[in-house]
Amino acid sequence: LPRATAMFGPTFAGESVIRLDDVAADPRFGQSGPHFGMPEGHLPVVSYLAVPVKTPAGEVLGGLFFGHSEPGRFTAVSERLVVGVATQAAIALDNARLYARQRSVAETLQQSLLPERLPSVPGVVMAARYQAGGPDVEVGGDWYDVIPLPTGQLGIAMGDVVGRGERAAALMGQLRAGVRAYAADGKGPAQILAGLNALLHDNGAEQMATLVLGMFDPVTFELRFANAGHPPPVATLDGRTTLLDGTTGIPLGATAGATYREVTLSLPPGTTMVLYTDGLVEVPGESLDDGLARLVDIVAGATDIEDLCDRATSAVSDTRTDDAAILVLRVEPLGSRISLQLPAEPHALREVRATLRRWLGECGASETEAYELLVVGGELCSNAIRHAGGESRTFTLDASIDDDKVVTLRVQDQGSWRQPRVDEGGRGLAVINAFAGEVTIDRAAGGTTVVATRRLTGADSAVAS
Amino acid sequence: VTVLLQRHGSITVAHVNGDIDMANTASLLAAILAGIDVDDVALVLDLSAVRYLDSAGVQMLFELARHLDTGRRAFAIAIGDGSPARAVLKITQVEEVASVRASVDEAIDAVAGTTTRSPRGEKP
Repeated sequence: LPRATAMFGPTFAGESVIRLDDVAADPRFGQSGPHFGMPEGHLPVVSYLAVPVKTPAGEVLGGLFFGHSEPGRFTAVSERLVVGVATQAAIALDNARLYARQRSVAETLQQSLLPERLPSVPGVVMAARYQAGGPDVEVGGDWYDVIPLPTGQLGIAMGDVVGRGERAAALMGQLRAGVRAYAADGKGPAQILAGLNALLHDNGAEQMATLVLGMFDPVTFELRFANAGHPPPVATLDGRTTLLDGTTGIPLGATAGATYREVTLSLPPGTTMVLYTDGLVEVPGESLDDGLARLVDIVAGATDIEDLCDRATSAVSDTRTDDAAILVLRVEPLGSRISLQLPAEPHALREVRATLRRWLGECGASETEAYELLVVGGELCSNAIRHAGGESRTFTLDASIDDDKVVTLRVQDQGSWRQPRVDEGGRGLAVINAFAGEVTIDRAAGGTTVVATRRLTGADSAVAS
Repeated sequence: VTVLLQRHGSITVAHVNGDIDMANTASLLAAILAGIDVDDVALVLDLSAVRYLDSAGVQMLFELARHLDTGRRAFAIAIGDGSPARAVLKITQVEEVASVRASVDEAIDAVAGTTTRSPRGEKP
């Protein structure tokens, strides 16, 4: 690149156009080392025309430089022509940069609204993909979310904001926050959709969005869901793969006072449920029914859910123009071992109990055995929460059962289990000792591990009777 | 967890529903205490619909007993004999501070003898 010498300086600074009949005759020529003029091998330049490319705001983006080996070749007409080209170029470049910036803002916004990783829920495996619509397409409004709720349920959202770019991404953000807030407040899917519809209307934004919203209880396997104009979820139930349609209401923002119907169904272990956006089933030159049929086939034939996501997205990646998202949940038996890592906060106890209840039921524990082991687990985790230390302020609970039906609960934290006060931890220890066959406490430098075991007999054993 | 308060003359009956753990004992205790009328002679705490109770809940029961004792009020707990939480109360000796009965009616009977509240420290 040329340096900002006396000759090039005015162009780079955007000060003026330079048009010379003979460049070597200009007093600014040949003033700078090391060459003092054109370096050896430079194309022969006699006539010279240099026009800065300047944005309307005055920012210099570059310059247009012309040279000719003969003198006096650039006229006032040439200058006007090149200045015209430079002006157009500057506007085009400026717009391109602005567009890239907007797109990157929209992209950043949208990516920040998609979950970085899906929550880990025992007995539920999940996979998701998002594919942008390609470099020549504006960022779309597809989004999804998986929300662990205080009730132990899992909130599941898959939505599509009509429109593109920053406005779509901003509305996505509002809807996502709205779903999370309403759900934390204990509202059900249909209520939340009605609430979001009202929000969209009150905003007067004249924007529409589709959204399918579910709440799944991993302990009872009950799914409640409602649908605001979104393509119907696909589910494999009892070996049959079907569309969960027939409940689809109108899109959010379409009309004031819209209400939504809620459907409840059971998703026992072995069930797969797939939520997606229209980009996955709407391909130019293909009917929607064909697109849906293709997705149903892929879901029916899938054994691995990551593989399912890959196959569903790659099936449309060549022909798709829209963005596309897919979220897959599969309910699985908990098996002989479960592991939970949880924040050392009192609200985590609810999730501990919900998961332990389901797992102990699958293990064949009697009602009394299940309750008493639930209390043992609750006491151990409460202690971990009270005394948790370390950077992460988390604790882990591992539960396992062996061939002799011996249940082992193992709770580990990074804190020190201080000697319990008589009125507080003393009672906890008394309860643990009464309900667990064997308890060991290992206080190490890095934390405390407590292990409690009890053999299941399936009888209403109970200690205190 | 939810609390439903009912009045039986000068006895308040508090029906608790749900899980009791360290996350909600403080608010539960506050809700129960707020439900006690100034003229009450006794409190009956109905734990029949409690699905989960551990030592954090027991700790709350002892604190509640202390408050009631300060106000010279009697304290009874209703919990079914078959309830798994009943074993927790037994192990932690809640019987020492409250009359534990199998039903709300029996719990009311247990505290109904307390007809008037005598100021603390007053000699008979």
